[in-house]
Amino acid sequence: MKSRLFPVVALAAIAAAGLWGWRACLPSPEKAIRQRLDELARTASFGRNEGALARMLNSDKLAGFFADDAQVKLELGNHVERLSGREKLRDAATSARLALGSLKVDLHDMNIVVGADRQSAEVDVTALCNVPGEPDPQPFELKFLLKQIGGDWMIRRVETVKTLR
Amino acid sequence: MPTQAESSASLPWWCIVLIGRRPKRTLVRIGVLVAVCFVLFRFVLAPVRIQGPSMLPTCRRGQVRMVNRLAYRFHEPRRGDIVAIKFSDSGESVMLLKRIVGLPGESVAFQEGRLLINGKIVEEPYLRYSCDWQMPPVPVGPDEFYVVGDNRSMPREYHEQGRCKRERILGRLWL
Repeated sequence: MKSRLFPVVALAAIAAAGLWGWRACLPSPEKAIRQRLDELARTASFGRNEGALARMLNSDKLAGFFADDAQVKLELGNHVERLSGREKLRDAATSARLALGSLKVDLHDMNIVVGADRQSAEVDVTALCNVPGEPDPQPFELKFLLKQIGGDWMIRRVETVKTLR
Repeated sequence: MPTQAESSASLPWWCIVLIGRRPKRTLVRIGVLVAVCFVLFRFVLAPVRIQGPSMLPTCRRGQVRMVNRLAYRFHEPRRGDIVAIKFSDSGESVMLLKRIVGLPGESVAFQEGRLLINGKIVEEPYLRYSCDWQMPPVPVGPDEFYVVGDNRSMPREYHEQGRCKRERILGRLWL
């Protein structure tokens, strides 16, 4: 009985491991985008103790999430910030890191809609930004447009959406 | 066969403190409590923690309040109701807590800090802070409500207010 059961259990274990490996190595577009944006939030966050070299490297890494022709439109109160191109984004990220001192970004309620071509996607997300000196986190509703370029999901457009018009 | 009294007497004191004299009944009670809490907080109430000063003095920073999800099941939101508005279409992690001042089809304006609906002044007894807000008339769409916070002492530019879609209103502030 024991000898008959062993191959079945071993096969089931191999199948489960194979499925897990398949999912880990080849995640669905939704999962890959979710991981990518979570990583973006982690990279955008920084502490007080970030040195000059780390600031430069992290700004570079942050710009790496965006496509070459990426467009960013952020409405912060009455001020509208428009940036286009990866280079501009890198410069803006470095300046922001220098000016803010520290920042913590959390993404919530991610809604991912992958296009019919499976190469583009639209993501609605709520970002909570903790800035030093502010008692409460600042929420933003963001809309991302992503495109798969060279196997990676790259951000082509980001814009804030006004919850109350 | 031991009787119930004998079996409970045989339990150590810490067991009685933790799970009671009748463990089966305690388990059933726990199950019922968990089910009631699940239904209550999933379908009836939504707990919210207040952040930000826009609803002062009605709601203070750090307070935990309850939103009644069923409040608008049988009637539409009314003027003066404090409502929770979903910040994005996709979830309920972040919500805005505001008071409804304008109903669908109306026009909302502020003149020297006083609320004007369709050109007529509307009294707001819940306000504690005066203001000097000026805003030209804004038409409210057929499926929209105009919402604003109670803290009008803030400059209008920093106070999040405006029209929101009906579908984004989760419910009315209850407790």
